Amino acid sequence: MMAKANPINDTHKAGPMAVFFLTQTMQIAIEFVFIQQLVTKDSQQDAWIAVLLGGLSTFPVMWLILRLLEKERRYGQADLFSIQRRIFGKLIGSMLNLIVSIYVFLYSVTYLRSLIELLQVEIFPQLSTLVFSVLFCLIVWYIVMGGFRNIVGVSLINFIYLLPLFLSNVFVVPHAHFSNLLPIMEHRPQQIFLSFFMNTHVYVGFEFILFYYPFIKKPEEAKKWAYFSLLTTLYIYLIFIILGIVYYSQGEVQKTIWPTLTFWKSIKFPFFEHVDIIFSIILLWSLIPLVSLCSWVLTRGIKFTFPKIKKKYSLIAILILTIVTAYLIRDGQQVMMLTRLFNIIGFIAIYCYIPLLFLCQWLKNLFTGETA
Amino acid sequence: MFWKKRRLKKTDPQTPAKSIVDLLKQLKVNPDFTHFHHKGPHFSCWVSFMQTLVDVDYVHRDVFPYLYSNQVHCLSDVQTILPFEEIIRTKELSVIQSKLLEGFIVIQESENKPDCLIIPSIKVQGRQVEQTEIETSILGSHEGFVESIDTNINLIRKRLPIPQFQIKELRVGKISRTRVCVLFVDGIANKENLNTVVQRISDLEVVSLIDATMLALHIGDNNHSLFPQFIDTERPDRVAGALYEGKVAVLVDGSPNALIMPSTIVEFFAAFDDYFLVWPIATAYRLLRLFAVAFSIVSSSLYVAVLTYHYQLVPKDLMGALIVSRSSVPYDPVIEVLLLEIMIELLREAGARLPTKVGQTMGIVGGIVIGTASVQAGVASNILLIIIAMSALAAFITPNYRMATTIRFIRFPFILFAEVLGLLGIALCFMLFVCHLIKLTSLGRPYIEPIYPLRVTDMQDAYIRLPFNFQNRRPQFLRTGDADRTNPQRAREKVGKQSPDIDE
Amino acid sequence: MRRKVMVGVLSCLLLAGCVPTHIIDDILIVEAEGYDYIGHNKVIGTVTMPNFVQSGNQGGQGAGLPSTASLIRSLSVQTYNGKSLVDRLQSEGQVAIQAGKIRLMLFNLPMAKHGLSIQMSFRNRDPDVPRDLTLAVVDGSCKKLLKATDYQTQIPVSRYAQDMIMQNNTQNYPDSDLSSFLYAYFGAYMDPFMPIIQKNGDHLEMRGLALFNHDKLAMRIPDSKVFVFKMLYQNFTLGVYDLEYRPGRHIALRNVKTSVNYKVRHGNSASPDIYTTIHVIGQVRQAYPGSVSKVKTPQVARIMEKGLASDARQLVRKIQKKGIDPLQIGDKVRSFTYHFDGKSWPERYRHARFHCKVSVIIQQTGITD
Repeated sequence: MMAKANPINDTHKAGPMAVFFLTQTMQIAIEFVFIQQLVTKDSQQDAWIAVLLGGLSTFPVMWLILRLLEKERRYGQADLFSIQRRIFGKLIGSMLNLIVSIYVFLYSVTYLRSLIELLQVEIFPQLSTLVFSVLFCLIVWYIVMGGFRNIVGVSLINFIYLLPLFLSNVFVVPHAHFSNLLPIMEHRPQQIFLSFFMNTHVYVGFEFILFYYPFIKKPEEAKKWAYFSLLTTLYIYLIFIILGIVYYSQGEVQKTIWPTLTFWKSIKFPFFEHVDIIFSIILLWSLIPLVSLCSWVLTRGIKFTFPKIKKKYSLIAILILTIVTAYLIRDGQQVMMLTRLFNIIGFIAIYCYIPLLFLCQWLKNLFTGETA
Repeated sequence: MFWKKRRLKKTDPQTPAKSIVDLLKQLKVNPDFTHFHHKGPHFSCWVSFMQTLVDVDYVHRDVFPYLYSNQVHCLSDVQTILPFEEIIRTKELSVIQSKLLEGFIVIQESENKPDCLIIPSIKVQGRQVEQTEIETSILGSHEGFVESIDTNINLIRKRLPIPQFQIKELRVGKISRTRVCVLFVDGIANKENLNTVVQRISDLEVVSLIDATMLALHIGDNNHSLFPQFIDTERPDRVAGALYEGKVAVLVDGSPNALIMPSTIVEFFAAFDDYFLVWPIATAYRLLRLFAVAFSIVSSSLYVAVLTYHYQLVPKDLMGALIVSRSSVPYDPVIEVLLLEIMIELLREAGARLPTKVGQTMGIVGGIVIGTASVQAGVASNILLIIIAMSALAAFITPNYRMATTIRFIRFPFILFAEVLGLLGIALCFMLFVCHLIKLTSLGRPYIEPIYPLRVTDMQDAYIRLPFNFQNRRPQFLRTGDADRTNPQRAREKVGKQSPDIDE
Repeated sequence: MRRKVMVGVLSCLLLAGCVPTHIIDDILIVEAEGYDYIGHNKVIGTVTMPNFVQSGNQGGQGAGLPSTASLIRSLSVQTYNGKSLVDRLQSEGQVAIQAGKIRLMLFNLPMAKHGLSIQMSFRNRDPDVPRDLTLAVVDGSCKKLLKATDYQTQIPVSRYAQDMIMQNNTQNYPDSDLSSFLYAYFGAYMDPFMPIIQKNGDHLEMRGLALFNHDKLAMRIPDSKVFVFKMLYQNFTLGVYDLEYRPGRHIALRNVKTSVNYKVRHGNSASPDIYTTIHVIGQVRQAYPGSVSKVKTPQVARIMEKGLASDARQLVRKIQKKGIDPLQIGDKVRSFTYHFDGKSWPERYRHARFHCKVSVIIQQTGITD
């Protein structure tokens, strides 16, 4: 049996509602700006079915994750790093932890870089990736130094600030061509599955509960918030995909890289025009908690593997690595490639690895239960 | 060499008096120290007091006659005969010293013996209770705190006539030993909060403490933060309200301000008047104040950002007005904004320092003459002048002065960020401040409480004010000993049944 | 120490992170672009910038240089089709030229016939361009229209033209901003259209619609038939219709409210059936004496129904013959048909049977009977 990690002080824990906001933050980063193009490629007007299915499929996965964590609480700290080490032993466990850390790292870099790409195209073509990511990471550093509760606070604020973006959907109604949604269910299941596969990475992110679960007070109450968050995400994505279908013709939506952003260009207020600039700056908010949480998870991972290294020092290293990696990604093409790659990894992580892990835990418990 | 020596000598703390003789000798230097030998027919003694601290009339009228009376033969006789409730007989030097310097009379039988009698005869001098000057209100009480701590406690106790209202007295300051009182209602105030306050105050290592706001700076959770973490108020009714709510108040002798702690950021934007207005109006004014604050912070930086980088945002009909007013200005928007902002700051500072009547003239001169003149001279644009004036006005809406200064100050980093990165810079700067606010605590309680941690029940008295019958629970934020303000069941019974239908 | 390093790093970053500024009064804000095709893939491009500065600084004294003197108002250059005008003219700008507030794009008839694909792909790619940009075809020369100084109005011609087109869009002309143009341009089974404007002496006027075959001008609809087009294209409420119910006798209808509904049968057959039901509700404002009354109004309405239906059928037949689909009929057929056969659609479109049913209600007849 592994040595029990030092229990987490109650003052560092966050309430059960934190699960809602963190899951929201991790799932809805900036994908709602561009999912339409990716998803409608294979199933055109039926893409919303794929999005619906994708959202619904997250529920059983979430159930698996929560079961996994609940069972694990008897054996020690219920987070992924501990689970893997317990189940697979020190060597393989550490290897897996490394792979998971790379996944988390990739997660934060992909989003950070696609946001910078968006800002460069939309607002400041001359914006230096380096300078911006350094400024950004300074803020992230400031937050992560405050600990988990701060990250929850920032993600809560993020949720509030993103609300006007979600509400901007109503402006589509006068320009909507609802007949674009017809005929329903025209496409073959394979095509819908392809779209379903393409939208995996928009739903990815809820599995981060595997990392912060020990930091939640009253985990039983947190369950309902987790499911509620998945439901909210599903609703938001569904609305955005329908927006993409009814506002654009199919030919146009597949030519547009950021359909939601382009749609925002047609919104006009008497006080200001070009809402898209303001909205894309608000998008900045959704990235702060995301990168913070990822860096926080990585510091925990490093601490877990090498207990000697203090979190505050590893944090700086992680942020520098993030900046460097973001800087090395040159242009939009590479960002796109990274997104595609991430899609595959996310699909494997969610639909293959988590059930597998659940199975392994079950077997391990069966095995140790018999021998004990 | 000499400098150093001399300085060393000066900073060397004066040797504390070792005996009563030393003490008297030390004090005799002061011209207002009275020390004389009284020789009566039956009893002779040494009387000493500080003339400036003691009510001399009172001493002549109520103390000396007894000393001269025939019944007195020794000090104990004095103690029994004097009609005072509190006469201390002590040999302890520190007590003698501090009492003497507070305005007590010290009576000794012989000059060299430490055994003495201490009789209270403090002369209370200071302002009468007057109208509040900083936190004025139209409705409600107009009393304000004064510089005397006893008067202030009197003002609060009038509003809290209950035995649970308790006061803890502490002394702060290595030399000054200033009286500091921690006020709370036992059973309602959170024990942890109270202990933190007492702990922080008693741990304080300072030479002297002159004002309550100074104390707030010393015991705040983050002393580098731009945001004040405790509310300072000069309204006794506000303090009483806070105490009923379960907060802790701190009074400092010599300061006309009380500190209320812990507090959240929205409380700084709530005026006490809000509770005297019907709830929709109060809510509207609170929202107005928050909007004003937001406007005040970002308006000038938005001007810089939009005019420097994001001309696309300007609606077409405003474009003409902006360009026309800008076209004769030779500077970049940021210079123009800084020029006017600093000018407004100068006016404000000058207005605050000058006597009231001159101050008003100052405002007129500054606002009208300099403003229009600078536009006509072509160093600032018309529209900017409107924006700056509005944002200055909006900053003064904040009821709390310290918060108002913070708000006026933090627009400068915003302007700089806006100049460098446009709207993106404003967003980054905003983020920094929000992250800072999330981190900030007040007595260990989260500073932006009803937002994070999200507590919906506390929202009813934060950005909005719901009617009083909704507010029958104390804020969760304070973790009070008694969560309910009223007995909910009894309250419900008293309201009675709702009428089942129209006209029934 | 660490704090000092932080401050240093931060200030360096802020200095290094500077991005080029576009100070609002130090740039030329392009409001209109015009393209005149002159053959051999050459165009004459014209841009106009509004000039806001009037008589100088009110009450200002003693400025040495007239700092408020006007900037240049328009530039024009010969270039090849497909070159961004703003980039081409950058060297001729007094200060930097910026296209972020562009609101009007004009093409002359030869340009429209030549094809707009290059221009459109441009506009779609540029993140600066607002989606409510107004597009129009000019009967005549764009350069003359944009550079003329003999208009009655003092406001810049770009605004004048845009306001006029926008005003008409609320009435008889269908919505034709960039977003709806691109919608039809990129969409399958549909073609875009633009209004046509013309400079007539000292003012501008609307001259009907230009219908495109993908990116090339295919046919024109005269101003008088635009109402029928809009009626078939979208629902609207503020139409104006002039009914000639007998030669020389007119009734003017205002606030005409129409709603259109399409139904499709046999979408994958050789000749699909398209059923259109149109409801028109109008209010009489002016009428030939004695033409409207409680008795006569329904009769007039019947005449109007017949006239509108035949006009609609004629219009659709015309566009079918040309093989263009600005009414997006193909898309409607698609939305009604499972496994719509898109490949053979262009052929089948010509043979599609169009059925039109119009019902007119004349609601008010004014305050006299």
